[in-house]
Amino acid sequence: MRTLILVALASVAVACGPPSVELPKGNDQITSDTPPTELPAPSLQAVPESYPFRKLAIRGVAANAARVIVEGAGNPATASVQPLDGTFCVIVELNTSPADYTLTLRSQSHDGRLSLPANIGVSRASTAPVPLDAKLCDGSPLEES
Amino acid sequence: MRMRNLVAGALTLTAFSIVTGCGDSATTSEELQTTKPHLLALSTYSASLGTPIDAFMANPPPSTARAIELVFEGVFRRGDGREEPVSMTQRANRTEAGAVRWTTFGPFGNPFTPNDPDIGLFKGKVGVKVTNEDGTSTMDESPLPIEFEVKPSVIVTELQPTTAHCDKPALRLIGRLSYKMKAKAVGFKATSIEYSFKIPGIVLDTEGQPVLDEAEDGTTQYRTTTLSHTMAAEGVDAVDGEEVLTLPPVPENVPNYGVIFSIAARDDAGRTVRSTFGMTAHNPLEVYDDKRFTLAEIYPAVPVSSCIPGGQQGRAVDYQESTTEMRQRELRMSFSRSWLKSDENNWSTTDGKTFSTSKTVSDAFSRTHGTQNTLSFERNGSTTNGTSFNWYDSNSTNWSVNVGLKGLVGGDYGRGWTRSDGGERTSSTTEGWSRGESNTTIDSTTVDHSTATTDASDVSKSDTKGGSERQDVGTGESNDKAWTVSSSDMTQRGFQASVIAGTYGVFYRQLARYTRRAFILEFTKCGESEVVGDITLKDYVWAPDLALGQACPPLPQSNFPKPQCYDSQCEL
Repeated sequence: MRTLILVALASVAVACGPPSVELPKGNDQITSDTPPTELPAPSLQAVPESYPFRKLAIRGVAANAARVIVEGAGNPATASVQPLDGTFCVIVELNTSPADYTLTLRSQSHDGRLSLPANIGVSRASTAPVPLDAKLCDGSPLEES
Repeated sequence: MRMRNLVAGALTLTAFSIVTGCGDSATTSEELQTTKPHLLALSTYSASLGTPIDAFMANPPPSTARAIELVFEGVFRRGDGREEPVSMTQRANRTEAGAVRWTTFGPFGNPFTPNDPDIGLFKGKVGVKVTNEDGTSTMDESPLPIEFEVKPSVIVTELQPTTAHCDKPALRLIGRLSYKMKAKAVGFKATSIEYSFKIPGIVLDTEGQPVLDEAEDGTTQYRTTTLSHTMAAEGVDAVDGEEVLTLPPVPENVPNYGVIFSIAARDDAGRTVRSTFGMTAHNPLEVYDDKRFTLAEIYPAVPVSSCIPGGQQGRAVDYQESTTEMRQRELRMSFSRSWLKSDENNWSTTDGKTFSTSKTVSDAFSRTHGTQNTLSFERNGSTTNGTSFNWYDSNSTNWSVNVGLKGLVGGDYGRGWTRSDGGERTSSTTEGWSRGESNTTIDSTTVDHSTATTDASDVSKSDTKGGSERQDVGTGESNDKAWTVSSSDMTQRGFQASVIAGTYGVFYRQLARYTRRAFILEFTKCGESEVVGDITLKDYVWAPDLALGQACPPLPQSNFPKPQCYDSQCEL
């Protein structure tokens, strides 16, 4: 029984990554690849819960990412991330109305890694209030379609 | 009971740690429920033919993957409502670790309807297929369901030299040739069409050789040719006659140059459909070199000092070696015999050697069919810049492509350059190409060394090796030619080390031979490529090391790797 306990506790230690070991100081020469930067899930600006139009612009910030990918509404949509500030704007087409959509956004880095997903829910309904000052990514006004 | 509780607590803790993880950013491969390459999305799902389409994938394969393809399965509904099954594989070029570009969506056709280009809508699934380094394939486990619209487009149905008869539009352009083309409006009724060809300017240098026209800041100057036509009723327009696109020669200092085609067709309603694509213009012969060296041979380590005692305190030793080597670099070219025998290409040298066994140069020129080409090359006997290949077509237009040591070594002989390891090397040519029917090798090495703490060695090495020519018979015939050049190489290299107290040190030096391989590509007038030969260059480098031992003699064992041979040309 004691053995079982030790095994269980050891598995906890292993699951928490490498043990803390004091490593000797390295030399000035870089001999290994640069460690990958953190790739957090994209952070999103608020999206109305109820939305009347077919095209929905989702804006946000995706740090260290090359692009964002949105799933949950037909063809997956993509948009590039601005390299300087990490902002993005992606158009998602909500073709079916009325319908409830659960959209999943992930960011992808230049080395191909994917972030954890960020989920948002939106209902498309023709009776939904028209959002004020809302525009598409290119600055054009939203239109009914 | 207490023991049970303890066990239960430990197991609970274990389970908790598995569920929650330890704070590392989890990859989404688990959520995607696949560890194989998987298509996530396309950059667009509605495009005119000729638009580059990017595809983004999860779990991207390593960079050593041979090929990445997009596999489409589904149905294509044409503009008139007819439906056709689609099952196709499209090659994609990698642009990032997790991104590839589908470049065959136009501009020469619609891959969904290859026989009769049309607009329409594809409904089905698309996935990623990866051909791994070992030749095995990995398929996308969950292809992506999509709808993809082919919008009204302009496609190029003909693009070929005026002297050729290509079955399909040329994939690559050839410098100095004139091209005719045809464009077709698909999915709309165009009334006018405009062409724009953007080509880099080519000027002659002081020696009369074509070079890129560059501004003072080094940017290439381009010239743009525009044409405007009224579209014919059948929706097809041609660029022919005096309007043909004549390309300038490809300069020797660049492998190729780019040509940008931009076509805009308009209808009466003012709608404009554009197609813009780029192509590269090549020489008929091109040397492809990925600039990678391969270790071919490691020579035995040679002691270049006597025993150096570390004494009671140990001592630092500084090794300086100044080497002047008469070094033989070899350039070997091998050509496919089947290609040499073809009617389209006959090779000859300016020194009278005919490569084509059944035809002479005059025979070649006397033939009348228009696509006959004669390829000749000539040796430049005074420089190491390489061998000049000249290629002629039936119009006696002359091209040349220069290959050889200059391009392969990556440095210009006669100049000095500083190596990253601190050594400095200068080279100068003492002899031009040498060639003969027999092989002789003379290799002499002299080593002089002096004190224990500062070892100055002068090494002289001279190789004289004639050229060789080999003609094999039987399956896989080939025709080899090799040239060697002797050059004087001055190398200075410093090396510092410590002889530990109570030990003895001996300096060793080890020579290594590297090879570099390039391929000779031939492009037909229709732009199809074929590897017709290869070029192998061999070069030598060396390194010093200090070996330590408890006694000397015997000589301490060197730290260098043991002699090894990686190809069939090892001397030992």
